[in-house]
Amino acid sequence: MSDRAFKLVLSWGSGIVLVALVGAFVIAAPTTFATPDNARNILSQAAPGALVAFGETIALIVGEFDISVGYVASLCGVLFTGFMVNQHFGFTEAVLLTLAVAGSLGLISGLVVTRLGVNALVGTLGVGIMALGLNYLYGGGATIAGPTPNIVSQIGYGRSFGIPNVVLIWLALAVVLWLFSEGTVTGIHSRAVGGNQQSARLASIKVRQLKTLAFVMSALLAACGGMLISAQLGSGEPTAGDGYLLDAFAAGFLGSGFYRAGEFSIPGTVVGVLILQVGYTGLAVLGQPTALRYLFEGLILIFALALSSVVRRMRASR
Amino acid sequence: MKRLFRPRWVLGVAAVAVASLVVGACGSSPSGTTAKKTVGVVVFVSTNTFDRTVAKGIEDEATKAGWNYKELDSGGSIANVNSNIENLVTAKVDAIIIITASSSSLTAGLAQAKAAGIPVISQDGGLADGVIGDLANVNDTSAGAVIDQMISDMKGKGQLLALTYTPGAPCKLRDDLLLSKLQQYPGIHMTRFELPDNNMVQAAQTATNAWLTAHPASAGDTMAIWGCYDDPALGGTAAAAAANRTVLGYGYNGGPNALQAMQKGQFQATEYFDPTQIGQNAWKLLSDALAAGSSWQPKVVPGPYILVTKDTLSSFLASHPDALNG
Repeated sequence: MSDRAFKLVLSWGSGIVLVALVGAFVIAAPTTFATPDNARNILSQAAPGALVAFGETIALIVGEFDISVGYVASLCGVLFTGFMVNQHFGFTEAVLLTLAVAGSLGLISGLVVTRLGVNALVGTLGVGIMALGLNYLYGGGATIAGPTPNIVSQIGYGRSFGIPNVVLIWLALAVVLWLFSEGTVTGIHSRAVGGNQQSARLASIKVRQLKTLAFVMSALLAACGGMLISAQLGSGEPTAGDGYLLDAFAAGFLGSGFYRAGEFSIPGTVVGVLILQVGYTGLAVLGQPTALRYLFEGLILIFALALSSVVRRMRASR
Repeated sequence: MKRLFRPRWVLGVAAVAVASLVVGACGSSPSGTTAKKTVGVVVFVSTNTFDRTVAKGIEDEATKAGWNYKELDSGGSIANVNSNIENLVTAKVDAIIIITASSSSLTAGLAQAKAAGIPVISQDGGLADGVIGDLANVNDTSAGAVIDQMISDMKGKGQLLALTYTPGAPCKLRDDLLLSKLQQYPGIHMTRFELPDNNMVQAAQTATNAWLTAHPASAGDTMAIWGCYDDPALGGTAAAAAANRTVLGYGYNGGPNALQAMQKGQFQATEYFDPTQIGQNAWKLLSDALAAGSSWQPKVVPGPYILVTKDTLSSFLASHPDALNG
């Protein structure tokens, strides 16, 4: 393969997949898929999953996994709504309290992994199941619904400048997180930890602290995803966030084929999230059978992991 | 900061973004509809036999009426139900029917459907803004009949394992009613087990084995398993049968598996809802609403049910010969 083509695949592979996917659905459903309304829907529906995926990406950047993100998102969706409906807190208090709970869970994940030396897969799974328990402890497994401040519905399905507010939120967070991970010392050091932990330690980078911070940020972002779900649904659903874990992984790994070849990044995750959502929405708009959706999910997960592996090997070989 | 704006990748991002926006934004949004109308059906979880049969009932009626049929599975996720409603709005369907998902949790999707002028019917989800009709097959009367039968069979005392699933609206209603009624019967000692989202039957079997271990046969208690629908209750009674324990079984939906278990003596009562009939009723409710036009008022239509017990099973099967086949 020529150098030019090689660089194209390394840097833009996932972007090319996204454009190809969009193109395929446009051809298959020109009057329904290729509309501004559908574009808004895709971006809106991607919002909660994107935030959860950003959290997972932060953990992946430092070389760890966070299995708790889905459960934390579910718990925080319930708490956010419950604090307003049951405890009659205002919107700001509900958000801060929910983030405090999520941050605590993230801190536990971080300490379990960095101080106790527990494998992140197992440690964060344990924290996730704890989050599930807290979920049932608070809400009893029931949906929490009731009057909430207007700002919640405004966030959930309101628009600003014709763009859904949830879209503005997740894109704004994408920019902030990208600037953090690329333009700050902490972000750059985090990438160094993920690249080579030993070298980072030898370079006096605070590996444990950065990993703990990553788990806290992951949980906070999962909480934001959970709160967005609740705003969109108009209620706190106890299981609403559970299904976002695999998509978060898939988006993160798909993103390694974009922008920073072979590495996890926020811009890459944005593309990964869009690939997934375009696929799901396209299949739904075409009315395709359920089986196809699950096949797509499975294939995309395999593709994402394979792409990441191939790109890393290609980089190492040149 | 300078390295953040390397020209090549910025151009690449811009190219991807522009390409996506262009293909996404262009393309017409024709106001005209095809000759055939389309009904979109959102199923909460298509692995549930009952829900699948309801959907089939709707599909058959829609096809007979000359409509196209489009079905989307939500995989048990209420967030997916919401997304599926939005996707059906995008697909420009002419009507939407939601099977077994609480309407109060579908605010964003229902708002889009209402804004697009697409009528929405709910089956057992309740009325909400944007829902023009609800088929309430699950209500206090229907839910209470099985509970009353169980309490009568237990003679008001014994050990009860209640298999619940609070996130599900029908299950929540039945569970709340069970808790309320059991307050009158302190002699019935209840162990509640909350079913997980997946592998409910296996979870029910595990819970049953643990419960049986905690309550040995030597105690001489009347033992009963109540499920908020048939499948987990049947899992529990099967586990009890495998452990050679006598346990009364109760559930809802009256599917073939429950009726067969009743024939074998492993199940005592269930509530039969004809899922095909429910599908037909959902279509009729939609048709009535469309025919009424602007004069239609949102309403709840209670659905019929039949309490089937081991004593009435024979006569039930005589009048419903297809019930064993599903």
